[in-house]
Amino acid sequence: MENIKQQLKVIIIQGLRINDRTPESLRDDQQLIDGDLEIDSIDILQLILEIERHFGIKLVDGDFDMAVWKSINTLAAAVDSKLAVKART
Amino acid sequence: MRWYQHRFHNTKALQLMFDGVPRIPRFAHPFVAMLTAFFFSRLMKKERRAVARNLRQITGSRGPALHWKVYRVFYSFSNLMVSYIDLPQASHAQILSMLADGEYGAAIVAKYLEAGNGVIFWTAHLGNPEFASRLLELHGRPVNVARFVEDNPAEKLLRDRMASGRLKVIDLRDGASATIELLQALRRNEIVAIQGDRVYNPRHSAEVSFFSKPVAFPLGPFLLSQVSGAAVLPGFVIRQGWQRYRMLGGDPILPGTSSDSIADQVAALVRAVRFFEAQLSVHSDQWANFFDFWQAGLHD
Repeated sequence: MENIKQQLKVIIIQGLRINDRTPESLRDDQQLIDGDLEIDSIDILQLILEIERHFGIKLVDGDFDMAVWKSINTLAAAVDSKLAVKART
Repeated sequence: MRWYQHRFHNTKALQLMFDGVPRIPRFAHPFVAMLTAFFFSRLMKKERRAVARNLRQITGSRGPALHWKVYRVFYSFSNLMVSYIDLPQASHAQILSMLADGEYGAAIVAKYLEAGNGVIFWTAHLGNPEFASRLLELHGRPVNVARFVEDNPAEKLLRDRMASGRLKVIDLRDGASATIELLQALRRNEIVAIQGDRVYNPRHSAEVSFFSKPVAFPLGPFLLSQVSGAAVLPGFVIRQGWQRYRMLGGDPILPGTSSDSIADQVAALVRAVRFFEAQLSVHSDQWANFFDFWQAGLHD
């Protein structure tokens, strides 16, 4: 899970082209929506693209759970769960 | 948030039109539109000047030729507004009978729907986008129209008139849930329609040379294409005579897959804008933009 969080931090900084932060500066409980990263709806779509491409998973299929986007912790848990499903199939 | 709206965009004016026009014999509608266009083009000075500036940028026209083109924009807009009377009740057969050549790109849309990733129809405030929505419904798949829904009773009146079982308006003011709804619609192999000549979120736009002058266009549709795998089909329904239309479709734009996703989005946007530019250079009198497009760029 730690590894996923580190990868997500890099994806967030690089994928959203955030120039004034580094992946190391992001906390695990970093708030994603309505936080100081100012991530909006299009950013979320960009992150879905980058995450799905990077991990080879479908992060959004079926219902969309906004709670997933609360923090890096929650996002990492969702990615981890999708990776587990992928590994089983 | 509010996009530019003229002062006659109110329920009283619309209701007057919806009640009055059906009482006038059909053959007289074009003549009434000519008079209405003349009346409003004189009355709406600010809008007339903005249209003139846009058309000068597009066509390079000056003097009487430019004035005539400006008048034609108001006339086209009258045609568009009258279509709100006929289109809601029109059957599929009637919709098809309004097409000048019967061709509406059905095979292309069907081909990309077969791929199972949905289709993004990229259009603009050119010609009659409401008619385009009706044509898209003929494919038998839900059509999701992405737009900022104005808190304006007049806008609601128009939306209610155009509502249909297959047409769903996704309000982009709903933020993440709206964009995800669009993604899910595409993953259900549905159609998403977007008007690409309005920037509501400058952070996610790119400046493109448009008639030799840079102007911002939204990148969102092309990002949506990348995430969903849906092809972007640029297209416009152009008026060709009174309540007669022709669909003009560009080459499908497939999502780029390079490591630089934003560069891919910009490249796709440029292709769509080039097609838009080509059509607009021919049909500039059908571009319903009553504000200075190159200066405004963003909503107020």
